[in-house]
Amino acid sequence: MINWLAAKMGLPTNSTGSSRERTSEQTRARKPHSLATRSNSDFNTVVDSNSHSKRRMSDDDVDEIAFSITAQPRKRGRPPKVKSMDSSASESSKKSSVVRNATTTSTPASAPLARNARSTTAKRSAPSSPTSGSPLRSARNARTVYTRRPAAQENQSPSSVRTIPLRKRQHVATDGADCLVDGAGEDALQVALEHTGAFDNAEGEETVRHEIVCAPSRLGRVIRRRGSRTVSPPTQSTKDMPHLIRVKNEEMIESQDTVVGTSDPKEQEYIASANKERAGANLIENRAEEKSSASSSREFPAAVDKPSVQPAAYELRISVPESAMPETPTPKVEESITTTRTSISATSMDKIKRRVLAQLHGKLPVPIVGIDDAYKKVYKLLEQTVLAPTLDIALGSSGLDSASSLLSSTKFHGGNSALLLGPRASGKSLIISTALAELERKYRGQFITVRLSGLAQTDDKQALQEIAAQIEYGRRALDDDDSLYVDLDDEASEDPTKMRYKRQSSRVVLERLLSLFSGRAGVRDDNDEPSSNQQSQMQQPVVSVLIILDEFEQFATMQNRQTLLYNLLDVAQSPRYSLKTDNPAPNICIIGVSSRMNAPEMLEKRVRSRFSHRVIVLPHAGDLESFWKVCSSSLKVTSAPTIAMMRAMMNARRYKMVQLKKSEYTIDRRATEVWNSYIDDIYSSSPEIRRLVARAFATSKDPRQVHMRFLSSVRNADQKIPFLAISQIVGREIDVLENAGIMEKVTGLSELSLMLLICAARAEIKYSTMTSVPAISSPPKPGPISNTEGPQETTTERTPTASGRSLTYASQSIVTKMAPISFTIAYEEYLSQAGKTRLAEASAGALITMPFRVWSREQALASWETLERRGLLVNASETLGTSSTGGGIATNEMQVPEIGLMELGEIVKDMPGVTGVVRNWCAHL
Amino acid sequence: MSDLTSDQLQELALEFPARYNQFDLLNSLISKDKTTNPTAIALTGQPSSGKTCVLRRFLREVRFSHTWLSCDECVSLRVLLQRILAALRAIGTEDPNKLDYSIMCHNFTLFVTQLNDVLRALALEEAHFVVLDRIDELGEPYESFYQLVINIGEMLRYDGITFILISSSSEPRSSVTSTFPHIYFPPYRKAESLAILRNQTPGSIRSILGPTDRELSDVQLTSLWSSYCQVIIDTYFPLYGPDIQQLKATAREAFSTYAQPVLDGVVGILPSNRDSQSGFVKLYKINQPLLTSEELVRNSFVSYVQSAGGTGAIGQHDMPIYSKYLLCAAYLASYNKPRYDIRLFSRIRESRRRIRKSTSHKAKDKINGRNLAPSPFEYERLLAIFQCIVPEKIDSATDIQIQFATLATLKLVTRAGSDSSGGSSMDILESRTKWRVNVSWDIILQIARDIKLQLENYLME
Repeated sequence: MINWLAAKMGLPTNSTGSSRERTSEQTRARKPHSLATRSNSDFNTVVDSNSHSKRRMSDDDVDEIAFSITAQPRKRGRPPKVKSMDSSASESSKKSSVVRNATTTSTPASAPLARNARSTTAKRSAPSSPTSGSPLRSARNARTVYTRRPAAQENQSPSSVRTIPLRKRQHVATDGADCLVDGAGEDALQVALEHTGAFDNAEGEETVRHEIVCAPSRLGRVIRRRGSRTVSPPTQSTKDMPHLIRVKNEEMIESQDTVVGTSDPKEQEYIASANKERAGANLIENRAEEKSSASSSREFPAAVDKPSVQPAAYELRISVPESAMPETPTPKVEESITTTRTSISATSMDKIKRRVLAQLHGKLPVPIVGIDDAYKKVYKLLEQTVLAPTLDIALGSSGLDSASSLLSSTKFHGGNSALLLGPRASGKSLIISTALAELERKYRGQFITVRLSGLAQTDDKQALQEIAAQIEYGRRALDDDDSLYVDLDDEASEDPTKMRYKRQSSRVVLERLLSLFSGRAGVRDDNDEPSSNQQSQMQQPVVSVLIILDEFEQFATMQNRQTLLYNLLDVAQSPRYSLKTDNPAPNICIIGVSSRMNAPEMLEKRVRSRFSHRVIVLPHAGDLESFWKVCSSSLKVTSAPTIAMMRAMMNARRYKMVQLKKSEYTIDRRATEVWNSYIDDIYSSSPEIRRLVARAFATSKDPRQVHMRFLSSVRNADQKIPFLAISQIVGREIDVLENAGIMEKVTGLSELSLMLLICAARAEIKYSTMTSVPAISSPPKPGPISNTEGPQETTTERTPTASGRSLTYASQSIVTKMAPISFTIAYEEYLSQAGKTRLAEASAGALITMPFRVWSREQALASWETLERRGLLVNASETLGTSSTGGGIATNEMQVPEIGLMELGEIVKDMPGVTGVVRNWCAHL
Repeated sequence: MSDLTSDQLQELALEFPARYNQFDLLNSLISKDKTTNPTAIALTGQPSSGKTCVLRRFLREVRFSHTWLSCDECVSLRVLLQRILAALRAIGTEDPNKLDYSIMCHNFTLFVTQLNDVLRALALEEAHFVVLDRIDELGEPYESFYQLVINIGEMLRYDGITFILISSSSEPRSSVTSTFPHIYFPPYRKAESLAILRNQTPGSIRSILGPTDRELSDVQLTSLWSSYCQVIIDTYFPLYGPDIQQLKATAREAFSTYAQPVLDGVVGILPSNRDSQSGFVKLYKINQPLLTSEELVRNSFVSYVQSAGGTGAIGQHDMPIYSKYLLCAAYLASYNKPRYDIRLFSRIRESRRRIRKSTSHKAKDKINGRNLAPSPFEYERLLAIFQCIVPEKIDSATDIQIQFATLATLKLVTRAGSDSSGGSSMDILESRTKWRVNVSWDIILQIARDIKLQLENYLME
C-alpha cells in the first residue's frame, strides 16, 4: 500500500512522469494477467509467488479495498448509538487527526488546496457552525463527493453493473435527502468517518503517516483530478480492465482526500474544548507542525527511494492502541496540570474502578501492547476473507466473469487458515476480539463470526451443531442489520436457540452446512429490496464466515479422527470457484487459538496438508519493562473506550434495551491522566511493586498474576493520591501459584500422617534398589494373538500425544527404580521408628512430659488414606504405567510417595508445630 | 465500593478465628456490581478449613443473590449441569425452591447455550453467584468442567453471573496455567483449632452434655469445656491434625463421659477456688484410660462389636476347616515363588538338600515379602499345595471346589485380572484361571494357628 501511495502521490512531486509510466506499466502488466485463462493464471501465481508478484497483488488489494469501502452499505437511519461508536472511534484516532489537520491548515501550498481545505472544513462543520460558508452549498458539495461514484455507475450499462443492493438503497436515500441540508451534511460526515475507519486498519497506519508526509503536494493533484472528473465522467466502456482500475484509483485518492478532511470537525471540537487552555491548543498545533515537518523530512525520501520495499514501512512504529489512546498526543500539556492534582472526583473514581476491575478480570479488551505485529497479521487475514466476496462483485461488474473470478480466486484461495499460538494470558483472545470488533465496525453485515471453544464443544457433532446454529444466528442478525445492537431479545434471536434445542441428526446439520459452503445458504437474500431489480438476476454477494476455534488442541484430540478439522480446513483451502457451480462458496477463514505450542504437530497428516501453516506465535514479554507495560495496560484507563471495549460493553448490555450514554462510558480525561500517571508512578517508586512484577516475570511471565494482586486494592481504592494501598497489593495472595504445591499439602497434615509419609519416604530409599515390584512390574501375560491386537491398534490410532506419554512412562520406569511402598511396609517402618523413639525417651527419663504415642494400625490406615486422598501418595500402577495390582487389600496396594525424604526434611524444618521427633525421623536414615 | 465495612469484617472475624483475610478478600473480590466481578473464583484449602461456612456466612451477611449447589450430591456431570440451569431458571419465579428439571442438558455446548438463554431471560441487574460446593467430589471426572467454568466468560454473551468453586483438592493440572482469583484457606494451627473448639456458648455445651442430675453453672461449664478442649486437642491433634470436624465430633462424643466425675461430685471444680487447677488434674487422671485407649477414635464399628462380643482372638474365624486350609494354601501360593515349590512341599529328600542361602544382595535391607502385594497363582498350584499341607486324607464328601468358590465370593481370594479395567486382557473362557489371595499376614496367621499349621515353615523368606 505504501508502495502504491508512493508511486501515486509521492513520486509526482519529484518525478511525475516516471510514476505515470509506472502506473501504466502496472496496468499493462495486469491486463494480460486478467485475460489469461484460468489454468494459466493459476500457474502464474504458483510459479512466481515471490515478493514481486505479491507486491503487485497487494497493490491490487488496496485498490479493491478502497472500492469496497465506497460500496460499503451505510444507512442514514442508523441508531445514534452506533453513530456514537463511530464518532468515538474517530475521536480515538485523534492523534493522527490533529497532525493531519495541522498540515492541511498550516501549510497552504496552493490556492486550490487552501480552497479545498476550507471547503472541507466548512462542510464538516456545517451543522454546528453555519457561519463558515453557505450550508446548502457545502452540503451539496459533500453529497457530490459521496454520490459521485454511484452516479458514475448509473451511467454505465446497467447489464454489466453489479452493486450491492444496499448501496443502491443508500444512493436513493441520498438523492431523496437533497433538500435536507443538515441530513446530507451529516451523511457526508458519516461517509468521511467511514473512510477514516477504513484507513486506520493494520496497514492504514502507515498510510496515515504517509498522508501527512505528502499531503501538500498531493492535494493539489487530487483536486486537479477531481476537476477533470467532474467535467468528464468516466467512459462507458467499463469492459476494459485498466480503466476500471484507474477509476478505482481515483476513487481511492478521493477517499483519502476525505480522510484528510474528516478529522476537521473532531479537531474543531477538540480545539473548542481545549480553548479554555489556549496554551495547550497552541502547543498541540506547534507540535503537530513540528512533527509533520520532521516526518516529511525524514521519511519522505525513504518512501521515494525504495518504494517497493515493504519492510521499510514496518519500521514506522505506530500502533493501533496508540492511536486509540486519545491522551497520547498531549501528555506535556496535561502534565503541568496533573502534577498539582492529587485527587479524583468520586464519580470518575467510581468509573475508573469499574473499568479497571473489568479489565483486570478480562471482561473488557484492553489496548494491545507489544503484540501489534501478530494483531496486524490476524487482522489482515480476517479482512482479506471478509473483503473477498465484495471483490468478486467489483471485478464481476466489469463483465469479465471468468477473468475476475480467476483473479480473486487465485488471490484469495490460498487457505485462509491460521493458528494463533501463545501461552495463557499472552493476549490471544484480545487480538481476536479486537480484530473482530474492528471488522464489525467497518464491514458490518458482510461476515458472520462463528466462535467455537474446544472446552464447550467436546465432540464433532456438537461442534457442527454449534456452527450451524451460530451461522443461522449470524444470518438473522445480518438480515436485520442495525437492530442487532439495539434489541436482540426479540424473535430474531429466539428462533436459532430453539432450533438448537432440537436434537438434530448430524446428517441434517451437515447438509445445512454443506449447502452453506456450496454457496446457497450463505447468500444474502434481499427480498426486502424490490428497487434493486436490476441486480436481482445478478449474482448475490456472499457473506464471509470467520471461524474462530478456541482451545484448538481440544479439537485435535477429539474423537472421530479430526474429521471436523479436516472438513473445515478443506473448505477453507479449496478454491472458491469450481467449474461445476457458478455460485462461489462463501469465503471462510479459520483461526485456531491454542496455548499448546505443539498444536500444529497434533494434526493428522491429511489435516496438516490442508492447513496453511500460517502459525502466529505470541511470545511473552521479553524484558521486565515491557512486561510491566503489558501488565499496566490493564491497570490504566482510557477516557474514551476503544472500539473493542465498546463492543464488549454493548454486548454485556444487550438484553437491557438500554443504550449506552456517552457519560457512562467516558471518563473525565483529567482523572484518567492522574490515574495513569499514578500507575506508572507506583511502579517506578515502590520497590514492593517492582519486586512483585519482577517475581511474576521471573516465574510465569503471566501478567494476570500481577493483576490478581491488584484486584482488592483497586476495589478499595481511595480518592486521594495514594490511590492504592501497597500493603493490600503485596499482602494478598489470590493467585493459585502462591499456594499450590506439595508444601501446602504437607503443612496441613496431622502428625501421624506426616510420620507415615516420612516413613514411606524412608522405606522408599531403604528398598529402592532391591524392590522388584512382584505383581506390578510384570504385566499380565499377553493372551492369544487376537486379544493383544486390539489394544495395540488403539494406541497406534491415537494422536501423537498418546505415544509420547507412553514413551515418557517407559523412560521413567527405566531411569528411576523407585520402590513402591505399601501401607504395611510404611507402618512397619513407623513401628520401628516409634520403638527407637520410645527407647530414646526412656533413656531421657523424666524430662519428657508427653510420652510419644504410638497409634494403632487402624488409625494409621485412616491417616494413610488421607495421604492418598491428598495426592501425596500416588498409586504405583499409575506412575509406572502398568496394569493395576488387582482388587487386593488396600493395605498391600503399592504406592509411591510424591515427595522425597530430603524434600520433606526441608519442609518440616521450617514448619511450625512440628515436634523434634518428626524432624529427627527425617534426618536419620 | 465493597459491601462490608471494616467493622462488620471485624465482627465476622471474631466469629471465625483466623479467617479475617478470607472475609476481606471475599469482600473485595465480589460485589453486587456485576461488571466488576470475575467470572469465576475458587476457594481452595484443605478439608475442614472453613471454606464452606465462611462463604455461607459471608453471603448471608451481604445478601447477594446466589444459588448453592453441592456437587457431591450429583452423581454425574449431567445432573449437575441440569441442576445449575434449573436453579437459575427458578430465580424470580414465585417459588424459587421448586426446580424444574424437565429440560435436559447433555453436554457442554447445550449448557453454554442454555445458560445464555437463561441469562437473557433473567436480565440480571445485580450480580448473581453460583456456588459449586465440593466440586472435587463430583461423581465424575470434573477437570473439563472446571476448565469450562473458569473460561466460560468468553462464551457467555450476557454478563452478571459469577461461579464460585469450592474445592479441597488441588486444582486440576489442566487448568493450573489459567490464572483467575483464588482465595486460599490455610489449615488451622493448633491454637486456632483450640479457639474454634472452645467457641461454644454455655447453652450449646449443656446440650452436648445432655440431661444431667446436677446442674452446673455457666461459668463452671465454660471452664470445664475449655479445659476439656485443651485435653482433646493435646490428645488428638497429632492424630487428626487440623481436621476441625473430626476433632469436634470426638469432643462431643466424649464430653459426657469426661464430665461424669464432676457431675458425680467426685471432683469439684470451682473457678474461684484456688485448687481448681488440681481439680482438673484429678479429672484428667481419672479420664486417662479413656483418652489413652483408642476407644473414642475407632473408625470401624464392626471391629468394636467383635471385640466386645468375642471371647478371644483365637477361634473367632467361623469357617469350615478345609476352607481354612484352602486359604492358607492360597496365601502360600501367592507369597512363594513357584520355583521353590519343590523345596517346600516335596517329600523327596533330594530336592530339600539343595537349599542354600544366596547372600549376594545382603548389602541392603530386603522388603519382607509379606508386605508386598500378593502375586497371582494358578488354581492347579493351589490344589497341589493344599494337598501337601492337609494333614490327613480328605473326606470324599467334601467338595473343595465349592469351598473355594465360597472363598471367592467372600473376596478372600480374588481372581487375578478380573477387576476393573484389566478385564479386557483376560480371557473369560480360558481353562487355567489365576487367583490371588486377599488376606493379610495377621489374619492368615490367626487362621493358621486355628488349624495348628506352622505357616512359617512353608514360607521362603
